Amino acid sequence: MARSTTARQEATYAKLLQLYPTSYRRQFAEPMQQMFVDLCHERTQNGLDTRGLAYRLYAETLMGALTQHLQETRMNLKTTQAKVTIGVGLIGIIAAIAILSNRPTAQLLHPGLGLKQVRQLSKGTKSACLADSSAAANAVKHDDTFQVYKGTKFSNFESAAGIAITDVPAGTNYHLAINSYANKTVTGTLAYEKDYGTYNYTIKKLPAAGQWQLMSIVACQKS
Amino acid sequence: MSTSKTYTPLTPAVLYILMALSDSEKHGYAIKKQVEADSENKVSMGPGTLYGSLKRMLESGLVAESDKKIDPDMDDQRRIYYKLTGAGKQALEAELERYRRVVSLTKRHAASAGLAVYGA
Repeated sequence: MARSTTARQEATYAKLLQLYPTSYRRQFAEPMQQMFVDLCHERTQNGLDTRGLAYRLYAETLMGALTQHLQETRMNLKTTQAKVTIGVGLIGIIAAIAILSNRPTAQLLHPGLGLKQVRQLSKGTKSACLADSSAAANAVKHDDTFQVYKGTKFSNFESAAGIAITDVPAGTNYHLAINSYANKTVTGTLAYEKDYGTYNYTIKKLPAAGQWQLMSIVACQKS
Repeated sequence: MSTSKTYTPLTPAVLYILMALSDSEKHGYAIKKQVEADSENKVSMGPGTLYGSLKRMLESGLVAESDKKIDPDMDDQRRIYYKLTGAGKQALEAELERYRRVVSLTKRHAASAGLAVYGA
């Protein structure tokens, strides 16, 4: 009778050990089970009942399993946090390298760049402003399309260049020098009047009719 | 400049386990019995508490697993033995030194307050 009770208690304890995390169980389940058997055996040898001990150890096992799971979760969170930190750091480094390696040449533009941003992007660059080329200007004119607004004819290419910097006030005059036109890409210099500056630009002819897209713009110095 | 490693105070369970292993390597059940003897049955650890503490101590390098072997005083089952590492010995010495300082301070305060000091 006592033997079957002990066997049952051992079986229950073995089941409870399954509640521990796998890694913990792999390392300690066997010696823990062995110790449970030793403790029950000790009490049986002394003619004592093992039920009180067994219940106490069941409770301890439940608490222990919970603690180990919490510890593992905390460790996993730390590991995840570390991975995220390293990932974000790497992305930051890659982005910094990309930005720095782009700086000296051309600043790719997205619609909506203002004067401040263009000047910021141009810091540290020393591009010379580009001269006019009538041959290139004629080639652009050949590919350009026009639209008429209130009786006035507007060049789509010039319109694309004219809005290169979004916060230059409307009505500000500018001179557009066309330096080269190759592979559907125009390079030249855009010189605003007043203090709005002079910039080298790259504008690409898009396949759609009448569409020109500003690709880069950088402050330049007149020679 | 001191180059010695500093140890934060140990939990009672860790301290008793380190003391139990200070003279020889032991398996789990023998550690438990030694802790009960050292603490005059005031500290009793079940398998969950004992192996939970051993796991943390293994991770922090205070103890190490020894070979699996049979305890001649027990049955013929092979058991995992645990032993103190160098770091474990240092941590135990540091903790005992901390206790000695606390006892010494307590004695001085008790003496100045005119209280009886046992073991003085």
